[in-house]
Amino acid sequence: MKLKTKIQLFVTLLIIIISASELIIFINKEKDRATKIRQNICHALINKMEDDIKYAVTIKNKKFLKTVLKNYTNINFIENIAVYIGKKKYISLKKEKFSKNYVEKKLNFTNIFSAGATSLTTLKIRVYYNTNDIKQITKNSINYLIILIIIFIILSFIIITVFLNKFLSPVENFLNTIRATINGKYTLMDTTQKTEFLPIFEAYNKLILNLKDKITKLEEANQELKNKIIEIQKLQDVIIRQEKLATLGTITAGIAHEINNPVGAIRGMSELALLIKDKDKYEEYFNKIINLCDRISNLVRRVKNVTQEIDSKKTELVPIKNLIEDVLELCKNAKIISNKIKIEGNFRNSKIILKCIRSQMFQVFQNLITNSAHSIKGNGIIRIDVFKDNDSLIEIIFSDNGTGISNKIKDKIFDPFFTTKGPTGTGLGLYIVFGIIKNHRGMIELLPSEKGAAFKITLPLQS
Amino acid sequence: MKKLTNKKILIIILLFLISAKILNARKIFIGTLLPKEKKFQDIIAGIKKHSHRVKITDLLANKQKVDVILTNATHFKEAIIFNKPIFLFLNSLTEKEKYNSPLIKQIVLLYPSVNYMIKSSLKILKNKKLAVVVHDKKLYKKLKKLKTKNLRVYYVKEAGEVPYKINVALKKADALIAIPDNVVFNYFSMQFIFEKAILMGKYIIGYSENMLDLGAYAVISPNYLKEGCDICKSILNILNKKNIKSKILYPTDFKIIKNANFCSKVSFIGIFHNEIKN
Repeated sequence: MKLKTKIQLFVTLLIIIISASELIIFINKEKDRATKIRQNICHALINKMEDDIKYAVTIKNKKFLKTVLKNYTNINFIENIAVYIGKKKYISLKKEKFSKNYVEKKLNFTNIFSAGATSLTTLKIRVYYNTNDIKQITKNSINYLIILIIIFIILSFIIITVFLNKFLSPVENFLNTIRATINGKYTLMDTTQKTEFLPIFEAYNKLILNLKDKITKLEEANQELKNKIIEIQKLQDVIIRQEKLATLGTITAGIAHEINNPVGAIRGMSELALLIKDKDKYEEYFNKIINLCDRISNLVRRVKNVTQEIDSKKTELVPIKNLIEDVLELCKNAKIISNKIKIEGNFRNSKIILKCIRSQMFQVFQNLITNSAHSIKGNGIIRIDVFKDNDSLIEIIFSDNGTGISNKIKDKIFDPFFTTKGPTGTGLGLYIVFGIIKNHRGMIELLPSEKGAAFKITLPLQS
Repeated sequence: MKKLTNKKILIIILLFLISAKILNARKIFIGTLLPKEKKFQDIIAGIKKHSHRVKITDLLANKQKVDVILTNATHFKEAIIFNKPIFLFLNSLTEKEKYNSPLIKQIVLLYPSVNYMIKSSLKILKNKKLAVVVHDKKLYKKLKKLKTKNLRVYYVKEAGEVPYKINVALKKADALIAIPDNVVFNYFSMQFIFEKAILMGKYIIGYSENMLDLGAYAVISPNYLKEGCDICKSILNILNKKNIKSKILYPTDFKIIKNANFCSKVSFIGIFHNEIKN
């Protein structure tokens, strides 16, 4: 609800409450006033007819007295007039029952018609009046007042609205200006017009000017920072590329060995085929040669894939199971994972499809598996578990029972150029992993474990 | 058939003459133009009592030929139209000058004279101070000349002065003598004066029996029955052309009536008009 509406409602409510209380007070006062007026009229009547009554009582002329009294009963609220001499009722105009409201006056006068003690006559004049129509009169007054109050409320409402419009228009302008400022449009208040809020507007203008200044400075700093980030990112990309190339070198060394073996076998098989004249044996040898050629072809294709993907930043939907298996296959072929290391975990049953840059995620997994494989000396186990947390997150845990990471270096493992492998390590593996996961809006953390190391990667499913 | 003797003839002639005389004494028709007040009814009763030949007709109800008209000041103009001898009833002689017509055969005064009223009142309320309020200047001067010890006379120039003068009179005197005067005592002022007097504890000696109901201590009223007889005699005289000259008929017989509501606080002295006359 707007401030203006609130004020309007509050003032209207206040007026209604005040008017209602005034009305109640008025009703009570009006009733008392009307009753008092009637009593006063009755008193005045008694005073007026006092002499006539005294005279009529003196001459003992009831007929005349009745005529006198009847003149006064024409007043609508007067019910009856009774005259008492002493305690005895002398005359009463009407005989039926009357209301309890009456005004009385006692008179003592000397009756010249009587002698001795009886000459002093005590006269009591009682005028009965009713208050039935006072309610109607009050009701009429109330109706009239209610109409007046309604008119007053309407007028008050209009006046308040006009006043509020005049008073609150600068405030509303101020509010709109603040809203515009919130939306990014920094506008200043008009301080040429004289209002009660002028000091506030001036202070606000100063604030906005300061803010603008600071924002300009901040934007400049931000731009500088952005440039630096871009520079860093470029550097990071170079590093990643170098690291990839380094990895490729390692892989190439393994691959060369892998290719060498079947090539040697092919050469042997071919020489043997030349020496053997049995045609059935030819077929066997050539089949083996073909198989070996296929193996080399596969290997070369995979290496090609890896090299082709180095610069790719294309996001695609990748089944996580396939990605891990490809990494493992490459690592096995490159002799990174020896035969003594077992691969366990639930990743083979996972049907989760990850939206990611395949080459980057491949590098992450390959780095983590390589690190695990290097930490295992002799027999060991590498576990890869994939969990779906809610519908929005995916957790991939790489754990091993290798040498693990000491507490001293826990905080440094994601730093660039930090390595435990001596001159053979670049110190960029986990730093790049951290960067790639961050780019994918994910998180990587080192889990506490009794033996070996465990890394948990949390990625958003939509990523 | 028997012979007529001289004696018989004489008897027949005598009987004829007697019957002729009886037939000659025809009925007298009197028309009245009077309000239905007790005093007038008493007067009419007196007339009827005096002569059986009289037949009275109320001309206000039905108009017919009459021999004589009895009227008061109110209906005087209507009476003139009939062109018959008029007997005019007046409250006092002060009004006499207003009515001048050859048709007026007799002016009948309905109330006692002022002198009589004052003398009677002084006798009734002995040792009390009395006051009289009059409008007639001649009467005022006349009363002033009386120099009666216990009497105060107040003159009222016009009707507007009445309340003030009555107030002064009642304050200074013990009793007020009401004299027949239309300016002072009329239909409108009567109740006011009586009420004022009663509330001030003063007495009023009135001139009409109606005043007893208003609180008059006593009234001095003419004997209207006797007055009726006198009027009847006059009518017969006029019709018999014995006395054609216009004259004033004063009331001669009075009665003093005391208000029954009053106790004997003030000693009431029974008096008669003859005594006062003397």
